[in-house]
Amino acid sequence: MKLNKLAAVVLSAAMAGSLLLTGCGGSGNGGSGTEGGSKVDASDISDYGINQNVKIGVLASDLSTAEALSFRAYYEEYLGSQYDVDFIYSEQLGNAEEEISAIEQFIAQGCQGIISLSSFDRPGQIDLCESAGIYYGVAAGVLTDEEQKAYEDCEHYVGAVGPSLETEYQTGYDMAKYFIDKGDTSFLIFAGAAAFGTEMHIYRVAGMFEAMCEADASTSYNGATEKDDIITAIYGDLGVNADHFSSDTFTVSAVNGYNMDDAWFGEIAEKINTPGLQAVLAVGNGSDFFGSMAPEGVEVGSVDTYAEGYLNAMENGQLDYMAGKFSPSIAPIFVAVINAINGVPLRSDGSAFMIDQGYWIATNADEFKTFLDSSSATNPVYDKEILDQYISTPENVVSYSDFESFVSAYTFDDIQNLK
Amino acid sequence: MKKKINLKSKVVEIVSLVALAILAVTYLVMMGDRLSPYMLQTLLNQTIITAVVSTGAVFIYTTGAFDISLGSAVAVSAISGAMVYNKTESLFLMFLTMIAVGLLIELIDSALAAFLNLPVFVTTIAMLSVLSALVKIMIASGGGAKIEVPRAVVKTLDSVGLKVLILVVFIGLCIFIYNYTALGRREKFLGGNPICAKLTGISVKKLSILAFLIAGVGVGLAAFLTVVRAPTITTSTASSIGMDVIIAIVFGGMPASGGARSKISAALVGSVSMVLLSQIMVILNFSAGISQCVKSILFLAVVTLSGLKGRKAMLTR
Repeated sequence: MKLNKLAAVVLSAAMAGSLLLTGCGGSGNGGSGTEGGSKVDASDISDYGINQNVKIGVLASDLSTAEALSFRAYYEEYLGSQYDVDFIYSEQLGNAEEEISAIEQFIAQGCQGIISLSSFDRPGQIDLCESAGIYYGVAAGVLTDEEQKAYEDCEHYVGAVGPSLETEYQTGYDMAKYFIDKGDTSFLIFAGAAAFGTEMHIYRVAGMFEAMCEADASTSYNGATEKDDIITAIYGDLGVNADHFSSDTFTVSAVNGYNMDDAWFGEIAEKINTPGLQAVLAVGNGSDFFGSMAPEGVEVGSVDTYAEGYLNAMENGQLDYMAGKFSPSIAPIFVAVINAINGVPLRSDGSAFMIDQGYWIATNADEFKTFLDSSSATNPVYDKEILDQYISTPENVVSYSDFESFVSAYTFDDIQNLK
Repeated sequence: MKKKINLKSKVVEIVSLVALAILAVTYLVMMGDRLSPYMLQTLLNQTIITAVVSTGAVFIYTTGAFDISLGSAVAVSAISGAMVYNKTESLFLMFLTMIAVGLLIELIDSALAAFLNLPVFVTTIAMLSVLSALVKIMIASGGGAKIEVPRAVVKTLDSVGLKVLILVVFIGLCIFIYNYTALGRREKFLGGNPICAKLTGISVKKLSILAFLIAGVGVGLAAFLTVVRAPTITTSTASSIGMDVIIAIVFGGMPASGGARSKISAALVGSVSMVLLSQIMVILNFSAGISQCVKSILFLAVVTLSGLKGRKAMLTR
């Protein structure tokens, strides 16, 4: 018995002792501390991803939606086959602690870069990657202005590419304007996670209200007619309270949240069958929740991604307007992370970049099909031919301004011109 | 024959330590050149919260009971502390609140069982449900999907030294209570033979409540460590702790039925073993699903081995 106790103490002490040795921390893999594309000596450029294998961890808070699946297919099936890169996906992350654990696992697996599609605690992710000396980039999203300012000088924070809040606002505005221009006046707004304080959904809803306010001066939300005031009012209501909407021209009802229980679907069924309803303006997936229940003549607008299922919805009249992400939109951050790993980080005046990237808009099945084909993992719009132009080599060191121009030209037509 | 049983008993008793040693050596070999202070720090970070909660929970398990609501209790304590910090900007008050809420939750949990004469597992199931709902309500009351303590504030506390200090002091305190006070001896007696314990005049209710209160201190400390590690709290924060604790304690060599052979060291040994096992499976590129299966199989093996011993050996007298 004494022997057992002694063994327990010795083993535990050994583990605790080894852990104590880590007190001073320090970076495990060490950052190279490069200064920017134009200042790098060409002979120092590595060729990870091209001739040397590199592992990139992907933090994902969603592994099952159409958007998540199409993103994953693009990384693993397309980029994984074109470059010497292993993408290691996290499990579906549900909180900040899981994000941290996932990054720690990536480090244990020898990842040299991390791309984040999870946003529970981005500052925490950057802190950890910085301390571990792992390059980190944000795909399909951006940091808040305050966060960006606080972390833009971190050496291992590469940058973020995705829709800014301004773009989200414009997306909501454009969707509402589209239906208003068709003569619609009766709307059901699906405010989604605006009820949970999710900024991108709040801004999309605010854009919708702004379009209505512009079309008819009598329109207001909780007395507000200007962008900032509308946003404040939506924050205050934790979503959309239809009783706070006032207009001589427009009528609005609302569904908030993502409860997805019987009561929630019952509310949708009731509101979508409101006599006179003309269009559903959804801040997220409109076709799945509303399209199948929509009576004849009720149109549906959605903000989501280009995926096969939604093409069927559009062909079947369950979806009429799509502001969609295209799966290769996550390619630029891959390019930036690879460049950083190879010792040629792309820095905006020495700081991590944050570049706005918007949606593609489809209003009929033909447009949708074109965009969908360009989002596939077999023939993506951002193919190797284009991406190679922005991955630095000793013969071609890419500048930040070239990279920024490349990312900013995100419309379908602009990208065609890159070839 | 008796010698044979004793030998088998010894082997079974040290199986968790042998497993820990094998896992540690395997991990060190597999990491090779990649082993760095950073990786060891990662092991500490992944071990410490489970180890602290498990250490407190050993007192509950020793009495033959168990608590599956510990994860939710940690979450509620963490949110309460974060809310107090955001009101007062005092880290000390945040810490005290977390400990106080941890104690309060465990007090309610045990008092319900003691005074309503309900089996403990019934009250902990009810508490799990109540606390999970409370987590959602508290977070929603903040007006968003999460509650945060400013990162810059807790960053100053995110040090290996402080974490190890908390772990060592708490484990030391628990070892003292467990091995050198009447309370520890009575807990073991109660778990080994509750009827006999009752007949000797031991207050079962009082002992159960005290066991839960010690676990409550662990809950509060774990809440503090959780916020220090990830100051953004959402509805799923700490959700896996309840199950991790059960697995760690059993994997560490704690008899599933509690009693005289229970030991505080099981919490630390089990927690470190589980983290090492997870890391090894990560290095082997096992998916989460396969890792889960491997852990489950090992869990069953350990429980079976403990049961084997329990069925064939006499209690130490």
